Amino acid sequence: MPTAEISIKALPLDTPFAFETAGMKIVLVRTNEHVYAFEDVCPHAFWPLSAGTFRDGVLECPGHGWEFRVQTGQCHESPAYCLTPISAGIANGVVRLEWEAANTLEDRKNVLCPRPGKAAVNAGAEAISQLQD
Amino acid sequence: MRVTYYGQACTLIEAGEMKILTDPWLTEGAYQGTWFHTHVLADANVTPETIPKDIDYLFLSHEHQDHTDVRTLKHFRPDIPLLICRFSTPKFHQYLRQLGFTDIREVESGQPLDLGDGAKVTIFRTVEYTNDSAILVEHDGRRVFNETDCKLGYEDLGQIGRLGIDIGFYMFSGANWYPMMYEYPEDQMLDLVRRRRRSLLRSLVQRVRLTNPRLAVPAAGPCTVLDPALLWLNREERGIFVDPEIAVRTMREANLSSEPLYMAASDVWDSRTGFECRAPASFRAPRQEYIAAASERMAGSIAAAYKAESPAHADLPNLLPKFFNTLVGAQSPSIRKVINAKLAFHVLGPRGGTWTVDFSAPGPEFVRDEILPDWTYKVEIEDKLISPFVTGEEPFFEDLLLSLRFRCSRRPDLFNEPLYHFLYEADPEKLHNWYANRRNLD
Repeated sequence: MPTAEISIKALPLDTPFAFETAGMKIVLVRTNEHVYAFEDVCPHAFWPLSAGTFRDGVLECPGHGWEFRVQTGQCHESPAYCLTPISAGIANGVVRLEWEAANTLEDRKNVLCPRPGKAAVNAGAEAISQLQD
Repeated sequence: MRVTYYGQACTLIEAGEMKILTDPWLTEGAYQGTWFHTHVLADANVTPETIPKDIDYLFLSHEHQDHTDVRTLKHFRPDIPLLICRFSTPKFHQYLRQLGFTDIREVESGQPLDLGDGAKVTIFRTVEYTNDSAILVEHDGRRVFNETDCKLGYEDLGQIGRLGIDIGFYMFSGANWYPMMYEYPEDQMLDLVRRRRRSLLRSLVQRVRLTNPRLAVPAAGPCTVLDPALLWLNREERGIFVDPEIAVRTMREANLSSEPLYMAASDVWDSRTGFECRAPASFRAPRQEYIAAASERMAGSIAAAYKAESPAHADLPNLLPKFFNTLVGAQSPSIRKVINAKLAFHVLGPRGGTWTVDFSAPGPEFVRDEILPDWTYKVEIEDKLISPFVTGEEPFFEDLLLSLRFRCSRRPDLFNEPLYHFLYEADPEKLHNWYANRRNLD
């Protein structure tokens, strides 16, 4: 399973951050409490979410305004759609990212929730307890 | 190249000797009398009778009446070449064929088509379930992009931007019934409208930034509602139909490298001479003043049009259940499960009644003659308005909702996109493929 690491200090507070490694595009959102990570593509029209905005726990896609709750990755208005979560663990001020390999780009673009109306659990949310900045 | 703007997504694009007319909607009162142009086109002498008829190609982006207007299209010869995108179903093609057009050319999305005389067009298909498209016209190193109100994917927009666009026409407004026709408490409604408008304008800025035209014109999207009883829909705090001048101001404030340009109907842009203002001065009057005056002027004809509407079919109480039983019954159990709705109708008028379309029923009867207490989506509408859609006279059910002449509510307050897709085009294979590809079926 591919992995990558990034210093938590590199992540701006409450602002979507684009991180690309080994062809994988990831959007990270750091709040006061958590770091959330998803594949950096909106499942609607495939815009990069890192160019969007983040407010009140909601990541808004810049393309057409679709809103995703970072706690679940689920689309606020169209709950059939979810972002693809990236596992994000924090240790010693470093965010360690881990994701499933071998998905095709098309697979990654067309992610719906496992069942309509049910939230996908975002494995990427990890409590920040050791932020030192 | 030269572009004459005729309102909404209608542009006459002259590429050398070649003339391409896009999405001609040149009448007023689309969608059961509700939709008017930003300005009444006839005031600029823009009507189906007055516009040039020596058109070489008509491009029709999709079936919506503000893009494919039967009353305008009947003014063109039946053998005029129509350019449309190749969609996943033939419904739009068949519709145009039924209107009498004989030369319908379906073009693959993203594949340039040489029209001769150095003119080239590329049609791009939306990433959404709908049958919608946009067009790029190139000639002699110049490029005109008309997005219509099509939602293109990020990659297509980026590709278009890399080509270098001289002038682009962009969707800048909402073009649907959410949230205005829903039952929300006042505070929530105001907040939803404000957020929706903010999101629409942000999206405009992003799409212009990505495609990076030299000139960016807010074009398709909104309607103006002139029915005196529905004038509130035009108010900034109550409706999502954005004023084009607000869109221009928003683009300007975003410090884009593109220059925002407000074009009103009949204005012209020419690649050699630039912008030429031809629209009447009244088209640049303060928006709400213009709307109030236009509504007063049109009120009589609107009332007459409503009065002339045919009554509902006498057999509506049987036709409505039959219509939905057939459509729902044609879907696979997996699709019915994905939709998972109880769609209730409260139909008003002498042929009215109450019904619920229950997608979770075992079938073959999916419609109950009552509003089930656990309905998830409820529509209240007049019998004469829904009647032509269940008799088959009107083929596109979404047109009914775009009329803005209904009220609705939903429980829970979430967008059921599969239900919307079903109402948009209930083609069993298309629905199945859409959701199977997204790994959402059993």
